[in-house]
Amino acid sequence: MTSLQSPQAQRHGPPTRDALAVAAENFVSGQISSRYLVSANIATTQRRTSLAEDEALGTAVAWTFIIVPTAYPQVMVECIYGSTQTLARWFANSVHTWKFEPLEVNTAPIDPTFTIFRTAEPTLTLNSSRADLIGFESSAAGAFDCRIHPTAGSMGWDETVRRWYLLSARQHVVPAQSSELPQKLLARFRLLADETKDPNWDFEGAPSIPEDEWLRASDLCREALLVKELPEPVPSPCGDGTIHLRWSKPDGSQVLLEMRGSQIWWSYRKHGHVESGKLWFREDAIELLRDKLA
Amino acid sequence: MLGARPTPEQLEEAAPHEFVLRLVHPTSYTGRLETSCLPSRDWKGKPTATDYGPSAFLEARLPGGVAELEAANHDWKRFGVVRLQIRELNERGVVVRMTPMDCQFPTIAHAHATLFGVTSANRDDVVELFAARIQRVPPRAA
Repeated sequence: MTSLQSPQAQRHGPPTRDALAVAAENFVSGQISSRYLVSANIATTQRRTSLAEDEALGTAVAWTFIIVPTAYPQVMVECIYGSTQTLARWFANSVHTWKFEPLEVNTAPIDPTFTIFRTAEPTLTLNSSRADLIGFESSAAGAFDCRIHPTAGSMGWDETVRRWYLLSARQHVVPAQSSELPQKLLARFRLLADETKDPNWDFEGAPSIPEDEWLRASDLCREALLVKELPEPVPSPCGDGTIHLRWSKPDGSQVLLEMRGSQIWWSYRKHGHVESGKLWFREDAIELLRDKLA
Repeated sequence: MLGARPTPEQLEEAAPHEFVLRLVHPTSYTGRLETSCLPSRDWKGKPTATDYGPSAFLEARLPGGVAELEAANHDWKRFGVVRLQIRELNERGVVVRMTPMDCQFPTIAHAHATLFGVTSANRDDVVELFAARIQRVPPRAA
């Protein structure tokens, strides 16, 4: 089994570019051709501060790779360099839901509550929206914004940053399930992406809604179309930067999803009865739709 | 934190008997008015440091009505128009206050107002009201 850790992992200090590239190449070998790898770095902001604080506490430092699905046609291999506490926090909500198997590592597990994992079914995981959580979670802290992926490859290398993102052409990534969007719906998605690509598109200061976001929304719709008896969704952009997806049935029941980044707010209405909540995973959104409307 | 900006309470409140005009982006009309026509997530009913909330225009301060808005911004010609009595908004927990400083178009800034108190909890009711009071339907985007 491919080792996830490099010798750098035991040091307190950022790995070198070469070590990072070699480790990344090892990790993704067989899944992603290394010739497509583009090294990139993204300066972190608040998260960096957070890491520094953790290190000040004397906790161990580890780094690992996570494959995060991004907008087509790329996948992202993310290297997180930080304290075990930080990494454990990142993984806390996902380990139990991912299909992981312990990775054979060069050293003993750093922390009994945190082991480095690799997925048992990499292809499936590449397409899992659960992976999005890890990539997008830090954007809430202002540290990382997946929307800048397309430009990340052109950024210079800086040894002082704490995380690296290796972008690769998407290969061997076939969605576990997919359907085609009806032409009319596809056309609407394209139109909405065009309408909202610039800031202030509503003349009220609305943030731009990048194409990545529309792709994620259309992906969700594509999956939802596989659910029997589910009506066709109606997408629309909101001035607060969310994408609204509405499913309505003739009996008056309705599910509304409001998406932004990895966050999905939902509400269900039927004859004056209202339920609402928040979801993190696309699969949960599909399950909700199935439960409420199918 | 509103910084140097006035607190909502310091802003002039529009009277309940007055009418406001709310413009609706064409992408929020699909044969019915979508909830996306009324942002609520960013504000959660409270103003941010740079923005008080969704915009509207006090009709009484626009002698030229909608045409005056469209003269200030030609793009609004393709927007929908909702005309509401402020009392109806108040009944749903929304307060209208004058916010000329937030208007992007100087010629109509004096009529610019903000809808305070739109939250995810009351938004659907307010959008329902919008749908009932829509004066001009925008063209369907697609």
